[in-house]
Amino acid sequence: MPTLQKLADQGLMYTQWHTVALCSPTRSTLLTGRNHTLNGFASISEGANGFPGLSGRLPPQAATVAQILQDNGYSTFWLGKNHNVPEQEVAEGGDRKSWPLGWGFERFYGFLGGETNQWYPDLVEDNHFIEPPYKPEQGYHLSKDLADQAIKMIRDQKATNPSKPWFVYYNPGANHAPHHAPQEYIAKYKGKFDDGYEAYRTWVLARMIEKGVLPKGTKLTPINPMPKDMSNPADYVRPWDSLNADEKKLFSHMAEVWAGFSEYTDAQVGRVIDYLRESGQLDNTVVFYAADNGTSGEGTPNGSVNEDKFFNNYPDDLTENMKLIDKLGSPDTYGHFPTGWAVAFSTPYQMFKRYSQYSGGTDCPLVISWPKGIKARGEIRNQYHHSVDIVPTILDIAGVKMPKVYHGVEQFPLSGISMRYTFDAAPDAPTQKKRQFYAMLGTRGIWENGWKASAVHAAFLGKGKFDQDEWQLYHVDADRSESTDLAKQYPDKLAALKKRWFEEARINLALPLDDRNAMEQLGVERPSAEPKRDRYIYYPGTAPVPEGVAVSVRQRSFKILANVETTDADAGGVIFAHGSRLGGLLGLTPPCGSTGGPRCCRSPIQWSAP
Amino acid sequence: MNRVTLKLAPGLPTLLSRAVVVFGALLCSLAMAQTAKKPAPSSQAVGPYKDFKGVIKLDIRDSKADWGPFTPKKAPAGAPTFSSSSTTTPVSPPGRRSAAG
Repeated sequence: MPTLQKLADQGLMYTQWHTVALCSPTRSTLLTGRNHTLNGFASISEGANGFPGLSGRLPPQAATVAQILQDNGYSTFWLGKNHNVPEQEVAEGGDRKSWPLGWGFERFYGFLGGETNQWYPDLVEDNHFIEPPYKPEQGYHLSKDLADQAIKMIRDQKATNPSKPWFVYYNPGANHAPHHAPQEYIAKYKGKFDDGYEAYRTWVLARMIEKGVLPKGTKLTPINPMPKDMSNPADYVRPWDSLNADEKKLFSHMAEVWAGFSEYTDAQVGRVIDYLRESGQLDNTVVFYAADNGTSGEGTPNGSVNEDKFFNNYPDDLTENMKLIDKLGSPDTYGHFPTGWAVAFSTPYQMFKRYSQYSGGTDCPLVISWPKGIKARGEIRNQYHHSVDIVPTILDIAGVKMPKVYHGVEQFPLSGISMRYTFDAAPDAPTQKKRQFYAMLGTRGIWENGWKASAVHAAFLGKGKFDQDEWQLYHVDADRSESTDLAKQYPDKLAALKKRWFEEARINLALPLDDRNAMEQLGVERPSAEPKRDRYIYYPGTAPVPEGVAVSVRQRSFKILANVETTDADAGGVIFAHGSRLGGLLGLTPPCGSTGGPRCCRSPIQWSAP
Repeated sequence: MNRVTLKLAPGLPTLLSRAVVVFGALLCSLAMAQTAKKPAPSSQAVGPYKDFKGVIKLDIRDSKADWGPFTPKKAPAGAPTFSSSSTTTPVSPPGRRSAAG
């Protein structure tokens, strides 16, 4: 990761910076500086429900950093991932108030959902859907496009308002699935993961200690730490030595693809940094380079070459997957690695993304670079902080305060604190943060003054009974990897932290807890802007219709009727398409001329589904 | 006019149900069965959501959602649409409705 390393070399690398454990909720904190549940994002947008902390709708009590900076003379641009728009409003005819331009951003170029095909992304520019500007065979990749667009936005601004500062919220689709990368970047990692994920954990732990990212004596945690009755089978890690030769080959290559995806994206970020340097802007630009959750375990124990299979409960088959091994990363696949790599890339911690009670779900890299404002170069900072602390840091540096009332609405206080004091602090100086509560998909935890209480409960466990959860206690200041449970030695300490968790949950609107399985959570019936109907009419020349507002053909029969009038014997092509080459259906009509004249135009449309 | 119409036939299972599902399902698990419900010990204040009419307990299974405060206002059924148009200079001078007028 050359760009990340360069920025770290000229700035600071934080070793205890945490997120909410899931992308969309963390992103809400990066926008508002309030805890995810105050933002209505106890879960992802698609998991919204009719409760204050789970509405999936940013409330007017949580003004965004962009709104505040815009009001104070900044240009505000957003590139890449969003995932904070209510699903039913990801629509050309939908309400735009929750789109970026409704939240204080003057420009947007990216995608509104949680993930998108990196070769053929579902793009939105400002307030409308667009097609990608060119195709993969012409060199297109979303990471590259976002860098181009970021440079263009800043250049455009500088051409007319060179004295005006800007705020760019830049969110590549990487490293979320699908793992898509140019083959030359994937090839750079050939053979690097052949020893398997347990071996990788051992190797990287030693390396992290050597680099000072982890304290000496940090212990590895188990790869399957959850008790059997409290674990989710989909999150199980298959030991490397239990895999057959084909599985090892496939799983290793999946990690190579992921690494290539990472480095390619980092190289594109580097192009933006290079532009800032060449244009004389880098010196006074505060760069935050971070991630939004622990590594993803959504690949399940076996990974997939086409995540759409997983979405549809369509079993992955090793023989079929092996046929596509050389296509991984290309437009022909939509892959995700298995859970073993999620654990490995969350070394040394327990679990991964979604597990908010463990650092495997929350601990993420953070580098802050600001050549003009930070004297230290290439130093580590060990102060405990969280994604809610980024907005207060930005406002602090900008010399702006979050108002108590914004547009007539009394605001939630910021949940985070400024990290600016760390810029001039010693690497091991005490953190000024006192407490951080965690809650995600039934998982719970709380950190306070170097101690942490963690409820033993898997994400999507489906059992409920939260009042019966066992809690663990870790002294994080002395046991960074949360490897040794001290609950029995310090029961009073644990009881106090549990009590504090409930206080925080109340203040932060974090109840009720929901550990139901994903299908139950995602299948909740939500208010629609449109009354129920059984007939959907689509017209030519319109933008693609997003999933959340499209006709739902799941679990039911349906008819598709097309009125097609052709005036040209050579006319032909796609009439209707649903999904993509990786799963869906297509209706097309052949050119009439090719099959015998105008009469053929009355012939049925041909349908195909991969 | 060219158009494509989809007509749904409710309740009839089909293989096409495997078509395309939302992104969020990626998080899905080999879901374990929901178990017996038990009254939760805690409920919660709702901050500024004074018009929230749901019930909040520790477990969502014991709670009741209310979408009211989180649902955007809709225009009434049959509400008219509007088109406001204004040329940049008068098409004809004031008081003259046509070239002849």
